Amino acid sequence: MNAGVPTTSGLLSRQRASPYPRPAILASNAPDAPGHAKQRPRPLITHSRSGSASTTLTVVLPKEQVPVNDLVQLARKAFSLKDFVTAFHYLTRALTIAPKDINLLDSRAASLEKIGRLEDALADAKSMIRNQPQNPKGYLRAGKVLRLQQNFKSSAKIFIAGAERCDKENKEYEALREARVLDPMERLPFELVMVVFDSLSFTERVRCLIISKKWMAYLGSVRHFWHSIDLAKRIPSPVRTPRHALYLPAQPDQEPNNKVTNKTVLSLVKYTPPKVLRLGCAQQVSSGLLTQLSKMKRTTALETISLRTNTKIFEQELSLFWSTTPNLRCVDLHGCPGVTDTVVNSLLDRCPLLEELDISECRTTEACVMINYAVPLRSMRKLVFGRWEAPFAKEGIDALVSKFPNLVTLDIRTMRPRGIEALESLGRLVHLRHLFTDSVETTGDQTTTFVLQRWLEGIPDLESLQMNACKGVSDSMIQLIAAGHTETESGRRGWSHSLRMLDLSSSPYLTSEGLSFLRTHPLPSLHTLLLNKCGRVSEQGLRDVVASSGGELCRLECAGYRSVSDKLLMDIRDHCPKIEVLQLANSGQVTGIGLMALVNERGRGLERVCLDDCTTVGVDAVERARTVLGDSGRISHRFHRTHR
Amino acid sequence: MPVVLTSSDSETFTVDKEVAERSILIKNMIEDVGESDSPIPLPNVSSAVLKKVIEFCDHHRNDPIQVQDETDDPRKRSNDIEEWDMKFMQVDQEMLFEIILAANYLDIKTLLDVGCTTVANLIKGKTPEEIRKLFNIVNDFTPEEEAQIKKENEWAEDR
Repeated sequence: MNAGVPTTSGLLSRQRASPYPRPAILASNAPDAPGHAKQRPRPLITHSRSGSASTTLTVVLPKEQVPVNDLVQLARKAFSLKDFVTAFHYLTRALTIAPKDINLLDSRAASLEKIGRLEDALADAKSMIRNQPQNPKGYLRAGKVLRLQQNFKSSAKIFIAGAERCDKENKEYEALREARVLDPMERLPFELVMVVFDSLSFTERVRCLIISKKWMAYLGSVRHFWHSIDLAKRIPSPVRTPRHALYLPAQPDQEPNNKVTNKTVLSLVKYTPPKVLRLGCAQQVSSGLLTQLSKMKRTTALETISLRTNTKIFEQELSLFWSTTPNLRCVDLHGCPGVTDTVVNSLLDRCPLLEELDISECRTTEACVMINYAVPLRSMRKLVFGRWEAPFAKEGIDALVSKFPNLVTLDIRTMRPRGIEALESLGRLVHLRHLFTDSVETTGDQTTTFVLQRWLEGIPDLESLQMNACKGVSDSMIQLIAAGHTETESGRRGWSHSLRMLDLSSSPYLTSEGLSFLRTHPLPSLHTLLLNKCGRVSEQGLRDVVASSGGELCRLECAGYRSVSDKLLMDIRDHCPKIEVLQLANSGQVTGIGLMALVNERGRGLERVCLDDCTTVGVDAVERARTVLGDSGRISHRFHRTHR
Repeated sequence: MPVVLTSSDSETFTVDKEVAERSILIKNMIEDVGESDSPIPLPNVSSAVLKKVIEFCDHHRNDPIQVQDETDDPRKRSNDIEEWDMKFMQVDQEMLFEIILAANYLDIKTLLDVGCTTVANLIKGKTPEEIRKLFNIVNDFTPEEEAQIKKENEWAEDR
């Protein structure tokens, strides 16, 4: 091309055909117009010709004489207008003049990167490193390109090598340090990554799945991460779970969860057949999931399944599901309306290893244990049966006892037996340790005492007994329990030494005199004692219990006594070295003096003290006690309008 | 009797035997070789990292050696990092990974645990986007893929 000569528009347009001279013209005449060059070249040319045709003649130089700076400027403009091909051509031309210029190489690599010619971009970046090994730019570019090529390992290596080799004074050094790959998946060997993720919760791991494909592939490949799928949403408790928690029935500490769907579960079971599947309160999970799981053969390993309060799983699917889960051990179906007698029956038939079953608040009746009751299920340890609408006949209880002879825990809360005598046969469950019968309908203290007598004779080592809100509880019961061991005539056997948890709250016929019997017959193993709101018990009765049986006590609840004063607090301080939880709500005469005495003595061992509605306790005393305990959540001192 | 250690960049460190033997690797080496004055080369550990490791071992020189306990609940570990260890681990992530790798190579279980727990604590409670930023990770999912996975695991987000 003889770019020096042209005088006509014809010649100019011919120049435009070859890419390089044209930019030279633009550079001199219309420096802000390269965008137009791309879209509407013709008017531009006209403009340049009409504007200063003579200058054009002098400035348009042969290819090798165009100043590099002009080319760079043009390239930059093209780049900023996203015309990367043009930018690339300018830069290539500039590089023929200054082949070792690191900035040019960097820019060209950037253009190539945008065009998608990653191999060429990488070659440029490498020649940058070759030319100036001290300059971070080359490493930065190479690392970036390698990352785009999904080659994270090499990209990490480049960044690290760069950080080591290059000049620390350079202002790009920081950028290089920041760009280094810090992905634990890249930097640590797999077995160490596993240690890291071991200490994360299931939820955290799920959240980490969407970080990148690598994380997903890796986390998915570690099978034991997915053995337990726990999607239940728990309300975090502010206070550490105290020791006595062992003796409490499981609290429904979960809240409804609408975000967990069938798809959620199916996407998580694809890694490995789960052993634990907790879908508590997942309202959107429906019957289709069970069918799907069986189809995908994801059920054979299943040992624990929890479907608490699920309303969308129905009888038919549940009944069929059990035939695919031979290893099932724990089943929680609390509050599922789809659970009927048929479901329970097929479950008991198909899963011979079953250890725990919760079918409280279901639409089941006693019939579910009466079929096939002659074939005992010896593995069963824990049964939660309570809160059914249908009443329970004696035959049902008898069947239950024959069907599950090895029960350790039995929870029949709010059961409505046809007469308390129906419960008599529970005495045949010799392995029973924990019995929860609160609000069981009782008929008269005479029969209740009689039934308790049967239990005492049959069950040697009961640890937990919960009989709150049972009208039949009376003084003679306390005497039976406390003096139990003398009746069985076999040495120390008896509840007085095995009982760790006793709940007799809201027993209207229990009196202080009955409790005073404990002075001579203490219950020395008691961990937990609940005696809330027993109308005929006074402070003296409570003090007798604390003084005689308080050595192991770590949870004491005696809310709702107008007569309770600092004297009880002093007794607790003196006799209960292990006290952790104290419930004294609505106490009439407790003051700040007693509270401080207790807090100063027991200090941080106290996990929680509840003084709600105690009008006689001063706010400043509560504040001081909170300071001593170091955590304001440990003392509750609120007032409820209903009590005022 | 002091032990001489040589880092990868041939810097030498003289430490008490008791301190050096927090590392099972060095302990075994000393047992194999017997008492000798010749320095122990550690070609996988740079001097900057080795300095940190020695600082850790020196602080924990009197702790009882941890027995490998398989029944140990891994979740329990995460909560108890001692205050000193926490401060000790307040280094940039580059160093953190180097320390973990060195602890793995030198077989110092306590340091390895503290390091891994520190990384886990970095991840804990963060959104995926924050984690990517933290570790310089490129999100290589297509927007459709990401939306799909996000939707499936929506429940994990709000806690």
